[in-house]
Amino acid sequence: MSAFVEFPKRSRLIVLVLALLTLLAGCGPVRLVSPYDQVIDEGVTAFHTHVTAFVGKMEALAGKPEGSYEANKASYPDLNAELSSLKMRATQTPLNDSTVKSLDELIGNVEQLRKLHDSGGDKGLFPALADPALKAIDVQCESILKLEIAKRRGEEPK
Amino acid sequence: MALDIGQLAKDMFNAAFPILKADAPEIENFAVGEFQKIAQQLATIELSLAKQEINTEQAQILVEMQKSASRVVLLTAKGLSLLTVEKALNAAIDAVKSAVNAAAGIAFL
Repeated sequence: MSAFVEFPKRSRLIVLVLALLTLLAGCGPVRLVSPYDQVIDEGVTAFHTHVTAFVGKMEALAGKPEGSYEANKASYPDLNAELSSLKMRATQTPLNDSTVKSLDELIGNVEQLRKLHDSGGDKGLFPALADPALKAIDVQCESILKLEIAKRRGEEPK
Repeated sequence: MALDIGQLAKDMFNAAFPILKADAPEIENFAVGEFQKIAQQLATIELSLAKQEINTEQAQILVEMQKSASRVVLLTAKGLSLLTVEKALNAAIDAVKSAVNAAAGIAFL
């Protein structure tokens, strides 16, 4: 049996507290989540504007040739590229796991939106498809922004 | 100077616990609010399918999108929880900083 296990319970607690304090000494505040990133904040906001405008336009053009998937498929790589750049940046930041995974999910939903548009045929991205799809993307953007803004930790934005 | 471990633990708890208690309902409200939006969309998808406005394949894609949105809500709740733990931990350390530094005789914390 190790010497550590033979310590009385109170001594073990003291050792643990001191070990914890030693680890934390000189390190400043403890960080469990990455710092606030203005690029992610503004990038997700811009993406949300673009995807909302695009889906709104597709709904308005649903049933017309200008609203078909074929006429608009070039927009999807652009939307995807916006998010991929943000994800690449988020990946480089330590302790940013939630944001990286959330951006991954959002990228996945842009691909699902593309599939829906393609599946609409001549009707394009009609409201029964577009509305629930956009609501899911709304929830994702709001959630990512909620966390990013919370990372300011009460500090005013610069 | 000897450290009073019991008092230190109590001070750390008293500094950390109100933060955990205050932030938890806010995280819960966020998650409940977002899940309500997702539930509403699931009901809309079911109705559209019943009215044959969308086909089964489209409904499945839409449901997958709502599931993905749910995962992001949970990831955000996890991140917010970690931020709360971080805040509580720093408050706990601040609460005992003076006592530990005095006992060590140096600016240890």
